[in-house]
Amino acid sequence: MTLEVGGITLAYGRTRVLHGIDLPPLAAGTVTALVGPNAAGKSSLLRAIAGQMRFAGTARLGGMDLAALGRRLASRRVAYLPQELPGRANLSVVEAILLAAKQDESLRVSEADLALVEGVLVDLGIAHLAGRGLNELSGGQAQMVSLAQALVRRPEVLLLDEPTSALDLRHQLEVLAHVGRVTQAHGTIVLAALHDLNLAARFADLVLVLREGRLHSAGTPAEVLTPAMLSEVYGVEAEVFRTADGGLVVQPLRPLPRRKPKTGPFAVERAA
Amino acid sequence: MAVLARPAGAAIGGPALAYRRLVRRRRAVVAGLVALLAASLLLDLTSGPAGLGIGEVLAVLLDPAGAEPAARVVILDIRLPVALMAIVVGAMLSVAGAEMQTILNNPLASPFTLGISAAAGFGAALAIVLGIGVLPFAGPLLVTGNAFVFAMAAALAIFALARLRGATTETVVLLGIALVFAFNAALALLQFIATERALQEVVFWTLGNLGKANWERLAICVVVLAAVLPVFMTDLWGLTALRLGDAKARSLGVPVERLRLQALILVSLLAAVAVAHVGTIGFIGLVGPHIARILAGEDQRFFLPASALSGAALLSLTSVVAKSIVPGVIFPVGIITALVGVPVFLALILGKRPQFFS
Repeated sequence: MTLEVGGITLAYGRTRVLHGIDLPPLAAGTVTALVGPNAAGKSSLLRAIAGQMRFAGTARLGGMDLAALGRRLASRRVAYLPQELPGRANLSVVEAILLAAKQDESLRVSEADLALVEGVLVDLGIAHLAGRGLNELSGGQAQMVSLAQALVRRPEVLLLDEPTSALDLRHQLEVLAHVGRVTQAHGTIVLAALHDLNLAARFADLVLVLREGRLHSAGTPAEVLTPAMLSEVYGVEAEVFRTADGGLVVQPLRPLPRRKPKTGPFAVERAA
Repeated sequence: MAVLARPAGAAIGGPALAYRRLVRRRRAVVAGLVALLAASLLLDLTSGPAGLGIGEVLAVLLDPAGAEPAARVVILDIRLPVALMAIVVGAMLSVAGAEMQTILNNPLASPFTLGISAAAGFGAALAIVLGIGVLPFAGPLLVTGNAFVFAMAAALAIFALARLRGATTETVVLLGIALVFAFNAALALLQFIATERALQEVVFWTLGNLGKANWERLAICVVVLAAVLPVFMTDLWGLTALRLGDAKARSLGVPVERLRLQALILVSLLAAVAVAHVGTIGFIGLVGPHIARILAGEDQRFFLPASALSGAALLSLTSVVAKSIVPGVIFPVGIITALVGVPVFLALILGKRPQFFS
């Protein structure tokens, strides 16, 4: 099973934010990191693949066009974790996750449903939050609950938009390690927008770099995360080290003088 | 895996237990509201100038044929339709408010605060004063039809604004207030030019009155409520998901736009039919859902019935109060709901309790 994304073009009003993006095929059981500076189009690309926005181009899972599946069926196969955290509704955590699992199903909650929810909560280490209200959660806890809502649907594709933005260091590592384990165990295809390049280097099999709505480069972390890319895409002087265990560490040093953008959302803003 | 501030000794296996406990509590709340409603209905049937006790009321209800004719007429022909109308209209307004708050994600949404009741009242007055009907061939349903069309128009205007980019919940409420003022001004103009008889009928609207309830009006309201509730029940998971935010709901496959539009149409139908028959009754649609939300949570499987029951109980109790203030005088319930509703609402929004809206 692979996810094939081709020719994705997307605009907000008259401002085009994605310009015909073609991704390499994303294989089952792999984690792909989507990186790039602010306004590069990472969230828009995820929203397009998730079917949340109208776009030109195709997103195929196992050869099947996701748009042709319809929203309900596609949402079962492709789970999308938006940046927005679940609201403050008077729902407990266990209800909020059950709600994600039971969407489009009968109103009766079976023992199997509860076992599924319990399994996800225990796996994520948040079983103790089950009875707590959504309005009582910290930002990090809400992000874990949001992730649990995506995982409980047992999707084939997991699209994560900044899944660790509200988490402390320890939980960033734990959540991504858990996503990695789920990916391995269920053969899930994971595409995660990440700001932290070191997390991308550590957990991703493949890194895609977006810049101004276009795919800049794609490859393994070692191939892509180079001082040259960091300079060109982020405008930052940086060093990249290899650790003893073969990992990569990106060490940003200083911002480079700003260059005048020729295209992309910032250029439009300035022209206006 | 280590956890986010797990308390020492927290038991694994808790989620299923926590869920069962919650469900038990929520079922108990719904059962409690049913009991309160039953008690309120009995109280409503026993209160009134004829001075019938609970024993006489129960005797008539359980054995109408064997009951004393005078008591039978008072209970079955006068008090029962009014008492049941209070329950049905209370449920309609509260369900309408609950679903408006859900789809607009706004705690201040209700048919009254968003101008839907005012629009329905104006539509009805247009038919009463000028005989103008916006629905062709409405016949005897001229007034109700007008009320419905104007309620729908107001609801759609609010919906269109809520969908505009950058429209905040405050903007939506402000538009609602603008609609209330606009329709009230137009209503005042109609009252100014109305004949004495028409004016009297229009005043009925603005006060909110159960006095005109009869079995026919009750039947229409029951049919509408009975038709609308099952439609809501087909998508209770989706409605609950709307409160997680649009992006989250969409990611769960909820057809957000379609569900909103469908709910808005149903809510307008409920509000319009209720207002068309009993006039403008405020605060039930606002306070009923807040009570339900606090007591039964927002899983719509419990929130929807709890909202219906709390609204029904509120209006039923108001009906009792309306008869008890001055013996022999029945005050219009609209006045009482506003008088009682304001302090209740203030207590709800100013009280030290968790906030459920971002």
